[in-house]
Amino acid sequence: MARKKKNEPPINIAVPIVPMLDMSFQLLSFFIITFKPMPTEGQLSINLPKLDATDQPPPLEPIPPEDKKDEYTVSVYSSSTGELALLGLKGPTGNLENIRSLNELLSEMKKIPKPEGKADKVSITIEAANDLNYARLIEVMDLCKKAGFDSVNLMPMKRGGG
Amino acid sequence: MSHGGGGSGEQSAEPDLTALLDLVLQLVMFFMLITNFVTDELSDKIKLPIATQAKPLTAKDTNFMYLNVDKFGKVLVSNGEPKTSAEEIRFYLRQAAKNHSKGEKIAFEEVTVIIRADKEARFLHIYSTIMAIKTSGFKKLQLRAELAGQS
Repeated sequence: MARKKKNEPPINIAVPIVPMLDMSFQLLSFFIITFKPMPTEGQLSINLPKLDATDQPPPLEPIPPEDKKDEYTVSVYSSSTGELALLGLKGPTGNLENIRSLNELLSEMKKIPKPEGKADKVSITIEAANDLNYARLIEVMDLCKKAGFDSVNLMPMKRGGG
Repeated sequence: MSHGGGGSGEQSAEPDLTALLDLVLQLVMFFMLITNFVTDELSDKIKLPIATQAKPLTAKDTNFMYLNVDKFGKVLVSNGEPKTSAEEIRFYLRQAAKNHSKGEKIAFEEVTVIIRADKEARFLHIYSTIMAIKTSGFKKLQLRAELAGQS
């Protein structure tokens, strides 16, 4: 006589989810409290400064006229607190020494002739006072970019300036 | 007459917490992925100046080294004490180049040194840092600024 298997009721396994949820909320609170959004950064390219003239050997051949660059120097004078005091622009088109505002400098820089298709034929050097704030320097570099000059050189001002 | 199990006869209603747990774990994963624990390289002590014409960063920019310059002109590095002189900066950069996985020569050619300077740092400090980078042998340099409209 076959024995009938007793129909045992299925065993329900209940996973305790409530403590797991508690732990998850703890982790979430930790990450929310320690989260600090970083401001988006941008990049500004500059040319590495040239070495001192005494370190460079003289060129073996003279540079042909078509390869010569038009060199302009933007002089940035600062006050003792590092703020902009005065600006100047020197180059083949002339010397302007009493530029009082960034807008004026921008309009003068936009007048600089750029040979068509040869934007790299114009070299811009920013000659800045030692005490100038980095924020003001970035404003001047920004301005050079707005005027169409992507890459600039940096130089400290010779003694007697700023 | 017998009652099966649970002699009291109370009814309990438990909400289904599985879906809520799923959602909370999704949020935890999101925050884990975006949390940046590497704060030494992108030091929050440095307040960058704002530049309207700065180019946004691209995913191609991967081979770089950070130098954070604070408002006193000290160069903060990810490992070690702040550097105060040009010789210390040069030494640090040359060591980093020697330790580069592809060798010193490749490091000088391919690694971009990024200067993150505080907006109140003086030009003299920035320029001496740039000269130290130049004389240590690196060829690529970049300045960082905060994109306008982000602060």
